[in-house]
Amino acid sequence: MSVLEIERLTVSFHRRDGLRRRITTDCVRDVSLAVARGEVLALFGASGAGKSLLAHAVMGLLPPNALAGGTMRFDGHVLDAPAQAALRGNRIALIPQSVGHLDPLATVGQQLRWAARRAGRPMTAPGAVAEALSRFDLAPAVAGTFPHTLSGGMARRVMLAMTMASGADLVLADEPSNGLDADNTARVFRCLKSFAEAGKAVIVISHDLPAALKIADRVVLLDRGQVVAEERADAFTSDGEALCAGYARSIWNALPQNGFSRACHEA
Amino acid sequence: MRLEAAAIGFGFGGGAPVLDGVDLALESGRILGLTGKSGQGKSTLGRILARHLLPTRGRVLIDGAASPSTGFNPVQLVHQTAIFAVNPRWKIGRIVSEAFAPDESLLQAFGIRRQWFDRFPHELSGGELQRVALLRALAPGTRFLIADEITSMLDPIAQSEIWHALIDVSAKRDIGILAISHDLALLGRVAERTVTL
Repeated sequence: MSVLEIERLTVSFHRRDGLRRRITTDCVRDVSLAVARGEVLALFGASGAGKSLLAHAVMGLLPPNALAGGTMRFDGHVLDAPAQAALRGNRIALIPQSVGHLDPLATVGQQLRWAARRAGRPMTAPGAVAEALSRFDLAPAVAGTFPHTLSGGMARRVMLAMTMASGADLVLADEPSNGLDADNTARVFRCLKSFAEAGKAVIVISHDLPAALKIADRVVLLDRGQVVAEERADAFTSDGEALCAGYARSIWNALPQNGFSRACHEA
Repeated sequence: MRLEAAAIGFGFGGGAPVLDGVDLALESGRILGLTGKSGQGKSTLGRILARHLLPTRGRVLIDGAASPSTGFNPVQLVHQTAIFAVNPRWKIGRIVSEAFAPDESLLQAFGIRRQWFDRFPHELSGGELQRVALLRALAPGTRFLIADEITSMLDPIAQSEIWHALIDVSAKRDIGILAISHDLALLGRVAERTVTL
Protein backbone atom coordinates (compact mmCIF):
# COMPACT_ATOMS: atom_id res chain seq x y z
CA MET A 1 0.00 0.00 0.00
CA SER A 2 1.18 3.48 -0.77
CA VAL A 3 2.37 5.58 2.14
CA LEU A 4 2.08 8.76 0.14
CA GLU A 5 -0.34 9.40 -2.69
CA ILE A 6 -0.32 12.68 -4.54
CA GLU A 7 -3.18 13.43 -6.89
CA ARG A 8 -3.10 16.30 -9.35
CA LEU A 9 -0.93 18.53 -7.21
CA THR A 10 -0.51 22.06 -8.48
CA VAL A 11 1.64 24.70 -6.82
CA SER A 12 1.23 28.24 -8.06
CA PHE A 13 2.69 31.58 -7.13
CA HIS A 14 0.75 34.82 -7.20
CA ARG A 15 2.14 38.27 -7.64
CA ARG A 16 0.82 41.56 -8.90
CA ASP A 17 2.35 43.53 -11.73
CA GLY A 18 2.68 47.31 -11.86
CA LEU A 19 -0.98 47.72 -12.83
CA ARG A 20 -2.07 45.61 -9.84
CA ARG A 21 -3.09 42.80 -12.16
CA ARG A 22 -2.84 39.38 -10.60
CA ILE A 23 -0.30 37.14 -12.29
CA THR A 24 -0.33 33.42 -11.56
CA THR A 25 2.59 31.15 -12.33
CA ASP A 26 2.08 27.40 -12.02
CA CYS A 27 5.39 25.92 -10.95
CA VAL A 28 4.05 22.42 -10.34
CA ARG A 29 1.20 21.28 -12.58
CA ASP A 30 -1.08 18.29 -12.20
CA VAL A 31 1.49 16.03 -10.62
CA SER A 32 0.29 12.61 -9.51
CA LEU A 33 2.55 10.04 -7.92
CA ALA A 34 2.63 7.45 -5.17
CA VAL A 35 5.33 5.76 -3.15
CA ALA A 36 5.07 2.55 -1.11
CA ARG A 37 6.88 1.21 1.95
CA GLY A 38 10.26 -0.28 1.14
CA GLU A 39 10.41 1.64 -2.11
CA VAL A 40 12.87 4.26 -3.33
CA LEU A 41 11.38 6.72 -5.79
CA ALA A 42 13.80 9.04 -7.56
CA LEU A 43 12.50 12.41 -8.63
CA PHE A 44 14.62 13.71 -11.45
CA GLY A 45 14.48 16.88 -13.49
CA ALA A 46 16.41 19.93 -14.71
CA SER A 47 16.90 22.81 -12.32
CA GLY A 48 13.66 24.75 -12.03
CA ALA A 49 11.52 21.70 -12.81
CA GLY A 50 9.75 21.96 -9.45
CA LYS A 51 11.35 19.05 -7.59
CA SER A 52 12.07 20.86 -4.33
CA LEU A 53 8.75 22.67 -4.47
CA LEU A 54 7.01 19.31 -4.65
CA ALA A 55 8.88 18.15 -1.53
CA HIS A 56 7.98 21.34 0.31
CA ALA A 57 4.33 20.92 -0.69
CA VAL A 58 4.33 17.43 0.86
CA MET A 59 5.86 18.82 4.06
CA GLY A 60 3.48 21.80 4.14
CA LEU A 61 6.44 24.16 4.05
CA LEU A 62 5.60 26.24 0.98
CA PRO A 63 6.35 29.96 1.00
CA PRO A 64 3.38 32.14 2.04
CA ASN A 65 2.64 33.42 -1.47
CA ALA A 66 2.36 29.88 -2.87
CA LEU A 67 -0.93 28.11 -3.29
CA ALA A 68 -1.23 24.33 -3.47
CA GLY A 69 -4.12 22.55 -5.19
CA GLY A 70 -4.98 18.86 -5.54
CA THR A 71 -5.04 16.22 -2.85
CA MET A 72 -2.42 14.30 -0.93
CA ARG A 73 -2.90 11.28 1.26
CA PHE A 74 -0.59 9.85 3.88
CA ASP A 75 -1.31 6.28 4.98
CA GLY A 76 -4.79 6.68 3.48
CA HIS A 77 -5.64 9.86 5.40
CA VAL A 78 -5.95 13.27 3.83
CA LEU A 79 -2.71 15.19 4.24
CA ASP A 80 -3.90 18.74 4.88
CA ALA A 81 -2.18 21.55 6.76
CA PRO A 82 -3.04 20.33 10.31
CA ALA A 83 -2.05 16.78 9.40
CA GLN A 84 1.21 18.02 7.93
CA ALA A 85 1.99 19.99 11.09
CA ALA A 86 1.31 16.91 13.20
CA LEU A 87 3.30 14.46 11.06
CA ARG A 88 6.24 16.67 10.14
CA GLY A 89 9.43 15.62 11.91
CA ASN A 90 8.05 12.38 13.22
CA ARG A 91 6.33 10.33 10.53
CA ILE A 92 7.39 12.44 7.55
CA ALA A 93 10.94 13.71 7.42
CA LEU A 94 12.66 16.02 4.96
CA ILE A 95 16.43 16.04 4.58
CA PRO A 96 16.91 19.54 3.22
CA GLN A 97 19.19 20.47 0.38
CA SER A 98 21.56 22.57 2.46
CA VAL A 99 23.47 21.30 5.48
CA GLY A 100 23.10 24.90 6.72
CA HIS A 101 19.77 23.75 8.18
CA LEU A 102 21.60 22.22 11.13
CA ASP A 103 21.52 24.45 14.21
CA PRO A 104 24.92 26.17 14.36
CA LEU A 105 24.65 26.68 18.14
CA ALA A 106 23.95 23.09 19.19
CA THR A 107 26.19 20.05 19.17
CA VAL A 108 25.46 17.13 16.89
CA GLY A 109 24.51 15.00 19.92
CA GLN A 110 21.98 17.57 21.14
CA GLN A 111 20.38 17.87 17.73
CA LEU A 112 20.16 14.11 17.40
CA ARG A 113 18.40 13.90 20.78
CA TRP A 114 16.02 16.71 19.81
CA ALA A 115 15.05 14.91 16.62
CA ALA A 116 14.37 11.72 18.58
CA ARG A 117 12.43 13.49 21.33
CA ARG A 118 10.28 15.44 18.90
CA ALA A 119 9.21 12.16 17.34
CA GLY A 120 8.36 10.77 20.79
CA ARG A 121 11.23 8.27 20.87
CA PRO A 122 13.70 9.91 23.27
CA MET A 123 17.25 8.56 23.37
CA THR A 124 17.72 7.75 27.02
CA ALA A 125 19.88 4.63 26.98
CA PRO A 126 23.58 5.31 27.53
CA GLY A 127 25.43 5.01 24.27
CA ALA A 128 22.26 5.49 22.21
CA VAL A 129 23.66 8.59 20.50
CA ALA A 130 26.96 6.92 19.70
CA GLU A 131 25.14 3.94 18.29
CA ALA A 132 22.87 6.13 16.14
CA LEU A 133 25.94 7.88 14.75
CA SER A 134 27.90 4.69 14.13
CA ARG A 135 25.18 3.43 11.80
CA PHE A 136 26.18 6.24 9.46
CA ASP A 137 29.95 5.77 9.80
CA LEU A 138 30.30 8.63 12.26
CA ALA A 139 32.63 8.32 15.25
CA PRO A 140 31.14 8.75 18.78
CA ALA A 141 33.26 11.91 19.23
CA VAL A 142 31.19 13.61 16.52
CA ALA A 143 28.35 13.92 19.07
CA GLY A 144 30.27 16.61 20.93
CA THR A 145 31.12 18.72 17.89
CA PHE A 146 29.33 21.69 16.33
CA PRO A 147 28.09 21.59 12.71
CA HIS A 148 30.67 24.07 11.34
CA THR A 149 33.48 21.63 12.13
CA LEU A 150 31.95 18.91 9.95
CA SER A 151 32.73 18.29 6.30
CA GLY A 152 29.82 18.38 3.84
CA GLY A 153 29.65 14.61 3.73
CA MET A 154 29.66 14.25 7.53
CA ALA A 155 27.00 16.93 7.99
CA ARG A 156 24.84 15.14 5.46
CA ARG A 157 25.23 11.88 7.37
CA VAL A 158 24.34 13.65 10.62
CA MET A 159 21.06 14.69 9.00
CA LEU A 160 20.51 11.08 7.92
CA ALA A 161 21.13 9.91 11.49
CA MET A 162 18.58 12.48 12.75
CA THR A 163 16.07 11.19 10.22
CA MET A 164 16.67 7.61 11.34
CA ALA A 165 16.26 8.67 14.99
CA SER A 166 12.89 10.25 14.19
CA GLY A 167 11.61 6.88 12.95
CA ALA A 168 9.81 8.53 10.02
CA ASP A 169 7.84 6.29 7.62
CA LEU A 170 8.35 8.63 4.71
CA VAL A 171 11.72 10.23 4.01
CA LEU A 172 12.25 12.94 1.41
CA ALA A 173 15.88 13.68 0.59
CA ASP A 174 16.45 16.86 -1.41
CA GLU A 175 19.67 16.70 -3.48
CA PRO A 176 21.49 14.62 -0.83
CA SER A 177 24.71 14.43 -2.87
CA ASN A 178 25.16 18.12 -3.70
CA GLY A 179 28.80 19.10 -3.30
CA LEU A 180 29.96 15.63 -2.25
CA ASP A 181 32.69 13.60 -3.90
CA ALA A 182 32.02 10.16 -5.35
CA ASP A 183 32.84 8.23 -2.14
CA ASN A 184 30.57 10.36 0.04
CA THR A 185 27.82 10.35 -2.57
CA ALA A 186 27.86 6.56 -2.69
CA ARG A 187 27.83 6.40 1.12
CA VAL A 188 24.85 8.77 1.44
CA PHE A 189 22.87 6.92 -1.20
CA ARG A 190 23.60 3.59 0.49
CA CYS A 191 22.22 5.03 3.75
CA LEU A 192 19.04 6.09 1.93
CA LYS A 193 18.69 2.60 0.51
CA SER A 194 18.99 1.18 4.03
CA PHE A 195 15.98 3.33 5.03
CA ALA A 196 13.92 1.59 2.35
CA GLU A 197 15.24 -1.79 3.44
CA ALA A 198 14.04 -0.92 6.95
CA GLY A 199 10.53 -0.53 5.52
CA LYS A 200 10.36 3.22 4.98
CA ALA A 201 9.24 4.92 1.80
CA VAL A 202 12.00 7.08 0.34
CA ILE A 203 11.72 9.88 -2.20
CA VAL A 204 15.11 11.05 -3.38
CA ILE A 205 15.34 14.25 -5.37
CA SER A 206 18.51 14.36 -7.41
CA HIS A 207 19.94 15.54 -10.67
CA ASP A 208 22.67 12.91 -10.35
CA LEU A 209 20.86 10.25 -12.33
CA PRO A 210 23.58 7.55 -12.27
CA ALA A 211 23.88 7.79 -8.46
CA ALA A 212 20.09 7.80 -7.96
CA LEU A 213 19.64 4.82 -10.27
CA LYS A 214 21.86 2.69 -8.05
CA ILE A 215 19.22 2.72 -5.32
CA ALA A 216 15.93 3.69 -6.99
CA ASP A 217 13.11 1.33 -7.94
CA ARG A 218 11.28 3.88 -10.05
CA VAL A 219 12.18 7.23 -11.56
CA VAL A 220 9.72 10.07 -12.09
CA LEU A 221 10.96 12.71 -14.51
CA LEU A 222 9.74 16.25 -14.07
CA ASP A 223 10.04 18.94 -16.69
CA ARG A 224 8.78 22.47 -16.16
CA GLY A 225 6.52 21.40 -13.31
CA GLN A 226 4.95 18.40 -15.01
CA VAL A 227 5.54 14.69 -14.85
CA VAL A 228 6.81 13.85 -18.33
CA ALA A 229 7.69 10.24 -17.67
CA GLU A 230 7.69 7.51 -15.11
CA GLU A 231 10.15 4.74 -15.72
CA ARG A 232 11.38 1.64 -13.94
CA ALA A 233 14.96 2.16 -12.82
CA ASP A 234 16.08 -1.02 -14.58
CA ALA A 235 14.94 0.40 -17.93
CA PHE A 236 17.92 2.76 -17.85
CA THR A 237 20.36 0.36 -19.48
CA SER A 238 22.47 0.21 -22.66
CA ASP A 239 21.15 2.74 -25.18
CA GLY A 240 17.88 3.32 -23.35
CA GLU A 241 15.64 1.44 -25.79
CA ALA A 242 13.60 0.06 -22.87
CA LEU A 243 12.64 3.60 -21.84
CA CYS A 244 9.12 4.61 -22.82
CA ALA A 245 9.51 8.38 -22.94
CA GLY A 246 11.61 10.36 -25.41
CA TYR A 247 12.68 12.77 -22.67
CA ALA A 248 13.99 9.91 -20.53
CA ARG A 249 15.91 8.54 -23.50
CA SER A 250 17.40 11.98 -24.29
CA ILE A 251 18.52 12.43 -20.68
CA TRP A 252 20.02 8.95 -20.58
CA ASN A 253 21.92 9.37 -23.83
CA ALA A 254 23.23 12.82 -22.85
CA LEU A 255 25.14 11.37 -19.88
CA PRO A 256 28.90 11.38 -20.40
CA GLN A 257 29.07 7.68 -19.57
CA ASN A 258 26.61 7.01 -22.41
CA GLY A 259 26.42 8.93 -25.68
CA PHE A 260 27.09 12.48 -24.36
CA SER A 261 24.66 13.51 -27.10
CA ARG A 262 22.94 16.87 -27.23
CA ALA A 263 19.85 15.75 -29.10
CA CYS A 264 16.78 17.76 -28.23
CA HIS A 265 13.92 15.71 -26.90
CA GLU A 266 10.53 15.81 -28.53
CA ALA A 267 8.14 17.96 -26.50
CA MET B 1 50.45 30.05 -25.12
CA ARG B 2 51.09 28.23 -21.90
CA LEU B 3 49.62 28.89 -18.47
CA GLU B 4 51.80 27.46 -15.77
CA ALA B 5 51.58 26.97 -12.05
CA ALA B 6 55.09 26.50 -10.65
CA ALA B 7 55.64 25.01 -7.18
CA ILE B 8 52.43 26.55 -5.83
CA GLY B 9 51.92 26.53 -2.08
CA PHE B 10 48.86 27.86 -0.31
CA GLY B 11 47.34 27.68 3.16
CA PHE B 12 44.41 29.42 4.79
CA GLY B 13 45.18 31.48 7.90
CA GLY B 14 48.45 29.82 8.83
CA GLY B 15 46.87 26.36 8.96
CA ALA B 16 48.23 23.26 7.27
CA PRO B 17 48.87 24.03 3.59
CA VAL B 18 46.07 23.16 1.18
CA LEU B 19 48.51 23.09 -1.72
CA ASP B 20 52.15 22.20 -1.28
CA GLY B 21 54.47 22.47 -4.27
CA VAL B 22 51.89 21.89 -7.01
CA ASP B 23 52.95 22.13 -10.67
CA LEU B 24 50.47 22.30 -13.51
CA ALA B 25 50.65 23.46 -17.12
CA LEU B 26 47.79 24.32 -19.45
CA GLU B 27 48.30 24.81 -23.19
CA SER B 28 46.23 26.98 -25.55
CA GLY B 29 43.51 25.13 -27.39
CA ARG B 30 43.77 22.12 -25.08
CA ILE B 31 41.37 20.89 -22.42
CA LEU B 32 42.98 19.51 -19.28
CA GLY B 33 40.95 17.73 -16.60
CA LEU B 34 41.60 18.23 -12.88
CA THR B 35 40.04 15.94 -10.32
CA GLY B 36 40.54 14.84 -6.73
CA LYS B 37 38.59 14.26 -3.55
CA SER B 38 36.80 17.07 -1.73
CA GLY B 39 39.20 19.31 0.14
CA GLN B 40 42.31 18.57 -1.92
CA GLY B 41 42.54 22.15 -3.16
CA LYS B 42 41.19 21.83 -6.72
CA SER B 43 39.13 25.03 -6.53
CA THR B 44 41.90 26.83 -4.64
CA LEU B 45 44.34 25.97 -7.43
CA GLY B 46 41.79 27.23 -9.99
CA ARG B 47 41.43 30.50 -8.11
CA ILE B 48 45.21 30.91 -7.90
CA LEU B 49 45.58 30.30 -11.66
CA ALA B 50 42.99 33.01 -12.31
CA ARG B 51 44.69 35.37 -9.80
CA HIS B 52 41.62 35.50 -7.56
CA LEU B 53 43.99 34.32 -4.85
CA LEU B 54 47.72 34.87 -4.53
CA PRO B 55 49.79 31.81 -3.65
CA THR B 56 51.92 31.90 -0.52
CA ARG B 57 54.67 30.15 -2.46
CA GLY B 58 55.38 29.61 -6.14
CA ARG B 59 54.32 31.56 -9.23
CA VAL B 60 51.69 31.65 -11.94
CA LEU B 61 53.24 32.26 -15.33
CA ILE B 62 51.86 32.93 -18.80
CA ASP B 63 54.45 32.02 -21.43
CA GLY B 64 57.11 32.24 -18.77
CA ALA B 65 56.18 35.74 -17.59
CA ALA B 66 54.16 36.73 -14.54
CA SER B 67 50.46 37.06 -15.45
CA PRO B 68 49.29 40.69 -15.66
CA SER B 69 47.81 42.18 -12.52
CA THR B 70 45.96 45.03 -14.29
CA GLY B 71 43.68 45.24 -17.32
CA PHE B 72 41.59 42.42 -18.73
CA ASN B 73 42.43 39.09 -17.10
CA PRO B 74 43.30 36.57 -19.84
CA VAL B 75 42.58 33.78 -17.36
CA GLN B 76 38.85 33.73 -16.67
CA LEU B 77 37.26 31.65 -13.90
CA VAL B 78 33.73 30.26 -13.97
CA HIS B 79 32.52 28.32 -10.96
CA GLN B 80 29.58 26.14 -9.98
CA THR B 81 27.16 28.77 -8.77
CA ALA B 82 26.57 31.44 -11.37
CA ILE B 83 24.30 33.51 -9.14
CA PHE B 84 27.30 34.47 -6.98
CA ALA B 85 29.27 35.57 -10.04
CA VAL B 86 26.87 38.31 -11.16
CA ASN B 87 25.60 41.58 -9.77
CA PRO B 88 22.01 40.88 -8.65
CA ARG B 89 20.99 44.48 -9.43
CA TRP B 90 22.19 44.39 -13.02
CA LYS B 91 20.16 43.03 -15.91
CA ILE B 92 21.70 40.25 -18.01
CA GLY B 93 22.38 42.62 -20.93
CA ARG B 94 24.55 44.84 -18.77
CA ILE B 95 26.29 41.86 -17.16
CA VAL B 96 27.33 40.56 -20.58
CA SER B 97 28.23 43.91 -22.13
CA GLU B 98 30.49 44.66 -19.17
CA ALA B 99 32.85 42.18 -20.81
CA PHE B 100 32.09 42.52 -24.54
CA ALA B 101 29.36 42.55 -27.19
CA PRO B 102 28.91 38.92 -28.28
CA ASP B 103 27.76 38.09 -31.80
CA GLU B 104 24.72 35.99 -32.67
CA SER B 105 26.69 32.84 -33.42
CA LEU B 106 28.19 32.77 -29.93
CA LEU B 107 24.76 33.33 -28.36
CA GLN B 108 23.40 30.51 -30.44
CA ALA B 109 26.26 28.16 -29.57
CA PHE B 110 25.45 28.57 -25.88
CA GLY B 111 21.69 28.54 -26.35
CA ILE B 112 21.26 32.06 -25.02
CA ARG B 113 18.22 34.11 -26.03
CA ARG B 114 18.27 37.87 -26.48
CA GLN B 115 15.04 38.11 -24.45
CA TRP B 116 17.01 37.20 -21.33
CA PHE B 117 19.03 40.42 -21.64
CA ASP B 118 16.12 42.37 -20.20
CA ARG B 119 15.85 40.18 -17.09
CA PHE B 120 17.57 40.15 -13.72
CA PRO B 121 19.77 37.17 -12.71
CA HIS B 122 17.15 35.71 -10.36
CA GLU B 123 14.68 35.61 -13.25
CA LEU B 124 16.75 32.96 -15.05
CA SER B 125 17.17 29.31 -14.05
CA GLY B 126 20.52 28.07 -12.77
CA GLY B 127 21.32 26.51 -16.12
CA GLU B 128 20.39 29.62 -18.07
CA LEU B 129 22.48 31.83 -15.82
CA GLN B 130 25.47 29.49 -16.08
CA ARG B 131 25.33 29.86 -19.88
CA VAL B 132 25.41 33.65 -19.41
CA ALA B 133 28.38 33.42 -17.01
CA LEU B 134 30.29 31.33 -19.55
CA LEU B 135 29.45 33.69 -22.39
CA ARG B 136 30.74 36.64 -20.37
CA ALA B 137 33.95 34.79 -19.57
CA LEU B 138 34.61 34.20 -23.28
CA ALA B 139 35.41 37.82 -24.12
CA PRO B 140 37.89 38.36 -26.99
CA GLY B 141 40.82 38.78 -24.57
CA THR B 142 40.30 35.43 -22.85
CA ARG B 143 43.14 32.96 -23.45
CA PHE B 144 42.43 30.46 -20.71
CA LEU B 145 39.25 29.36 -18.95
CA ILE B 146 39.15 27.74 -15.53
CA ALA B 147 35.88 25.78 -15.48
CA ASP B 148 35.29 24.73 -11.86
CA GLU B 149 32.39 22.23 -11.68
CA ILE B 150 30.51 24.41 -14.17
CA THR B 151 27.85 21.84 -15.00
CA SER B 152 27.56 19.85 -11.78
CA MET B 153 24.17 21.33 -10.90
CA LEU B 154 22.75 21.02 -14.41
CA ASP B 155 20.80 18.22 -16.02
CA PRO B 156 22.65 15.90 -18.43
CA ILE B 157 21.22 17.52 -21.57
CA ALA B 158 22.26 21.03 -20.52
CA GLN B 159 25.66 19.67 -19.46
CA SER B 160 26.25 18.03 -22.81
CA GLU B 161 25.14 21.14 -24.76
CA ILE B 162 27.38 23.46 -22.78
CA TRP B 163 30.45 21.25 -23.05
CA HIS B 164 29.99 20.70 -26.77
CA ALA B 165 29.87 24.49 -27.21
CA LEU B 166 32.99 24.94 -25.07
CA ILE B 167 34.95 22.27 -26.96
CA ASP B 168 34.07 24.13 -30.18
CA VAL B 169 35.12 27.52 -28.83
CA SER B 170 38.35 26.12 -27.42
CA ALA B 171 39.34 24.74 -30.82
CA LYS B 172 38.21 27.77 -32.84
CA ARG B 173 39.74 30.44 -30.64
CA ASP B 174 42.69 28.48 -29.31
CA ILE B 175 41.53 28.83 -25.69
CA GLY B 176 43.00 26.51 -23.07
CA ILE B 177 40.48 25.10 -20.60
CA LEU B 178 41.07 23.58 -17.17
CA ALA B 179 38.03 21.41 -16.45
CA ILE B 180 37.73 20.83 -12.69
CA SER B 181 35.23 18.11 -11.77
CA HIS B 182 34.43 15.13 -9.59
CA ASP B 183 32.80 13.48 -12.57
CA LEU B 184 35.43 11.25 -14.18
CA ALA B 185 33.02 10.17 -16.91
CA LEU B 186 32.58 13.81 -17.89
CA LEU B 187 36.32 14.51 -17.86
CA GLY B 188 36.84 11.40 -19.96
CA ARG B 189 34.57 12.98 -22.57
CA VAL B 190 35.88 16.53 -22.61
CA ALA B 191 39.53 16.44 -21.51
CA GLU B 192 42.50 15.08 -23.41
CA ARG B 193 44.18 14.21 -20.15
CA THR B 194 43.18 14.37 -16.50
CA VAL B 195 45.42 15.00 -13.51
CA THR B 196 44.47 14.08 -9.95
CA LEU B 197 45.25 16.38 -7.06
